[in-house]
Amino acid sequence: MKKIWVLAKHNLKKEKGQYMAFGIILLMTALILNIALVLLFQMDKAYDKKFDELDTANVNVIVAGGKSQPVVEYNVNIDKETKTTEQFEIVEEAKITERLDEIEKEISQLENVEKVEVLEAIFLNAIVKDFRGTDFDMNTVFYNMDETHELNRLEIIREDKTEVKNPIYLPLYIAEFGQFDLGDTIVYQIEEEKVEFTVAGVVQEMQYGNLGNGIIGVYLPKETYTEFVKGREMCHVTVFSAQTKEQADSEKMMDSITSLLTDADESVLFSGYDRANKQVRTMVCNLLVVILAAFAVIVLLVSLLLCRERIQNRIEAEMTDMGVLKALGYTGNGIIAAMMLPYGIVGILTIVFGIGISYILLPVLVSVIQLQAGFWLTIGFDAIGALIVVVLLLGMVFFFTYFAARKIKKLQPIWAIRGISQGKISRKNVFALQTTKGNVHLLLAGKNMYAAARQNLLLFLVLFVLTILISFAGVLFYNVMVEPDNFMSTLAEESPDAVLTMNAEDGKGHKEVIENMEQVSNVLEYSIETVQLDKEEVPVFVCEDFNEVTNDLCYEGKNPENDDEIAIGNEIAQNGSYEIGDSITLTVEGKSASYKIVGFLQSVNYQGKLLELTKEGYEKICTENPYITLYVYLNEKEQTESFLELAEDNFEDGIVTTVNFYEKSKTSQELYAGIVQIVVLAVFLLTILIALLILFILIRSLLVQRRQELGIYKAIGYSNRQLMFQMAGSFLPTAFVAIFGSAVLGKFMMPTIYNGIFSMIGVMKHHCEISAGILLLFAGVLFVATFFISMVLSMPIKKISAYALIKE
Amino acid sequence: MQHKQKEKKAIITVKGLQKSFSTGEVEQVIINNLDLDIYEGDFTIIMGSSGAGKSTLMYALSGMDRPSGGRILFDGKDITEYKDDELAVFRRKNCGFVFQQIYLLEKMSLMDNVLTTGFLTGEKKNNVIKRAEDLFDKVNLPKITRKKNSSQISGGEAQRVGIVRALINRPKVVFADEPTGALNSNNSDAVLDVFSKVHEEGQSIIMVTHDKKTALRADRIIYLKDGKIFGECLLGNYQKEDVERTRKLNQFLEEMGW
Repeated sequence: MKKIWVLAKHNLKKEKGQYMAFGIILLMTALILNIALVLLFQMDKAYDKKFDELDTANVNVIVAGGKSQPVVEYNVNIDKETKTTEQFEIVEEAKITERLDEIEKEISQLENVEKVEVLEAIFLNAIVKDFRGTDFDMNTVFYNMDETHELNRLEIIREDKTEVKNPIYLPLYIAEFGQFDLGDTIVYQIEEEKVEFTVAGVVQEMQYGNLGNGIIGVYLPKETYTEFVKGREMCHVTVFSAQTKEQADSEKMMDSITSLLTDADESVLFSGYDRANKQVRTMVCNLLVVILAAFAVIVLLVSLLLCRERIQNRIEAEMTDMGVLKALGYTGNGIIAAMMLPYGIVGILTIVFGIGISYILLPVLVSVIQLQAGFWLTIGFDAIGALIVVVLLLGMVFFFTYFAARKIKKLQPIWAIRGISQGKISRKNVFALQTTKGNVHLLLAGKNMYAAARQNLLLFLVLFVLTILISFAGVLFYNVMVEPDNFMSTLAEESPDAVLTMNAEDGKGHKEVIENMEQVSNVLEYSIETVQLDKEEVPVFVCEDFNEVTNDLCYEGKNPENDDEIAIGNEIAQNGSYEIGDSITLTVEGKSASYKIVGFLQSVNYQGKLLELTKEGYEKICTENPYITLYVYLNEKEQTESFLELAEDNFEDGIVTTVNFYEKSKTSQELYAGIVQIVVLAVFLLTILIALLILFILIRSLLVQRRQELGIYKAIGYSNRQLMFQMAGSFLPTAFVAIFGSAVLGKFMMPTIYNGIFSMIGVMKHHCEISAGILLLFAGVLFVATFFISMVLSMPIKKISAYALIKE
Repeated sequence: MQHKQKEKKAIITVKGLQKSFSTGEVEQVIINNLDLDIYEGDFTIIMGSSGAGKSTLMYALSGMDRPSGGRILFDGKDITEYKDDELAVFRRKNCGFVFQQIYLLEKMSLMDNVLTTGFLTGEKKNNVIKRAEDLFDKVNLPKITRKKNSSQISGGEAQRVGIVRALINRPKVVFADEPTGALNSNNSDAVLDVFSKVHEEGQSIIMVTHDKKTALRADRIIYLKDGKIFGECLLGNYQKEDVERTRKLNQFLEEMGW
């Protein structure tokens, strides 16, 4: 054992640089893999823990109307003539209370329901002013936070108890992403009225979390809530929350509750269940885990291939020494052990170190993830993750090193001493100088390339895979940073630059004027209305001409063109088992019409629960719309603010509200842009670093292996520059073919990769552009980097005199 | 004889040459303030005991290694001032090398070994190939052998390829470091014959050797001791079976303490 240790120490000392490079790659692998595993294990655990801690309901369904709502005209059948207004209200309240109590009872009797709770709230579409510098409209549920409730509890994480006017408690997502601190004023624009609140606290809750569900909750102390409700009684909603028994399917439970409510003629405004909510809130985290895990696997394979390559090189280079050792009585296993031991030592140290560093980097990622997840994610040491990383990586290192080194066993001492390899030696004189035309340096580079075929194959594989990675990052970068509309239109719906809501009577005339404005490229009548489908409220996008929209949501079939055509969201299609060609009936305030399904739609925000109708189609069930909504598209997006000011000045009378949609989209982009910047930068740096390390190992190996040969070249008059070019040049054709070949293939492979990733978040068709230009640009950068790295790594040729090289 | 030497043109002039190596804190002087002229067309042999600085001197003269001090004028130009790449260009144009271990490039044919050097100067490829063929003919290496790899030929054949490679660029001086040191007697004679032949044609040669038989081929022998020229012997033109020449060399070497 002592002898093996002495040999191993000698090996370790002799090739410090090589082991260091191997160690760095392994460290990176451990680092990335550990981050991926920690996120995978802990995000899920932390989410579930917080979910349980706050007694979160598994199913939440919101229906229009509430016990405190005085009149729900369309839900009751009364004899108006026999009652006074006062009597009317009292009777209605009693009836509604009775009805809701009845429903609550029925829900609690459903199979697998553990607990039911009913809360009243105000639900409306409100625009948050100055949300990260822009106006952001969101479906918001305003709760009375002092109302006693057992389910969906809140955890106050920041609070200012000083008395302020109109205090409000914001969920973490709005506070962090909207950049609202304690004591700040948050302004909600509700239709034409602006309501100011003072941020008194920040809460964690697991019921809504972020806007991915299309709805968010804010919490008002009792006094503020009572004041806020005044005049908004018609916006009352009732939130039915149900906790299911363990093992129960919450999606089925949601369907049961929704059916029960719709059967009772309640108008369902929102329904959600825990799994779907979790998927939306952990989307970024899951994407990161997939990307990191893929990266870790690639880096691991690279490090193992390099490790194998190094050992094979050493066996070739030190065959004589090994022969001598065998002749002296060392066993094959002893020499193999001495060769494996340094890799084991370097492996253990770097893996442990990598795991350690991952915990330093994790908070950076976590800060981005928790912003999107909407709850505080506390990451602790994950022993199982660390154990998996250590066992997996170390196991792989031992496995690869053993299989690379085992041919030492077969090495006969005498042949080894004579330096005669027992493998095949190629004596083929490729690129014969006498007969091949071309520059002598290029031909020599070609000869070197052939001689280092194994190293070139390894380089090819690594650069090919790295190019796929860098292409992925490049495409992501292009579609989020350069052409953000592509990415946003994949996740969002129709995105004009400005939205003008006008009185219907003025709007028609104004539309023509706006269309003729210099800065306007197009104007569309486009609105989001609500219709009843199978007694459930569903949003419907109504447009005068879907051929004119900029974001086609239709992934199968087509958009509606006639008044009897409809396109439906994928979730609706799936739930109702609808096919293209089927008919579907919609109702608005008792008026119904039937439509033929002509296409399927996708929407991340509406989770596939949406419809599309032409303007004429919608007017078949709703003729009285007091407003007209115009989507305005400008020639210069940056001029949206000045356009809106101009529009407000010119059409003062007709305009109800305006939205700077361009700014709003930009705000949404910021969240994704932050993550993408981190991912792209990390992928780019890691790719260059891996390329650097692999070239370092390959070129250093060749420098050692070809030391004498280089000395001969120097002696006969080859300059340093020529030899460096030859060395670097021998890898360039491989690098060129691998990088550009992969980039070209990427043009065809990338859509599949992107489809796969987007399908994870329910996107059936993405709008990301796989630009050949950007693929070639990133490939070009990698190729140039490879060339320069090769040249720089070949520089040690300079430091040694021809005499010294030959003498060695 | 000394007078005749002075009439020749000095192709290399060495003034105050120093070469030392540092091993830790100890500095080991190999060449110590050495002055020397090497004449055009001469077959100069450098002899001396092990560690006398023979190879060090030869590699310094050829621009393969940098001296620690002093000047080396090669054809009137001070090569000690050259940068690395200038030295490389200098070597490819002016020097040919023959090594004891031969050092052929393993992964190419014998012809390619020669052309790797020949194509460096930018001369027309066909001219270089023609000259290589002529030189191969001169050293009696058959055409079929020229296509072989260095591992497929004998040591003598390999050294003849080494000589062809050294001569391909028509160097001003051929430097040979114990070229017969690793060869058997027959091969050694054949190689020395080639050297004598090219010398007869006017080629300047500087050779380091321990071998008396090799030294007999020289016009001039320089004997080094402790990094300095300890003695010098002029033998004149080489003739086979020259008894007087052998006696003169033996006497010189005896005086030098050989």
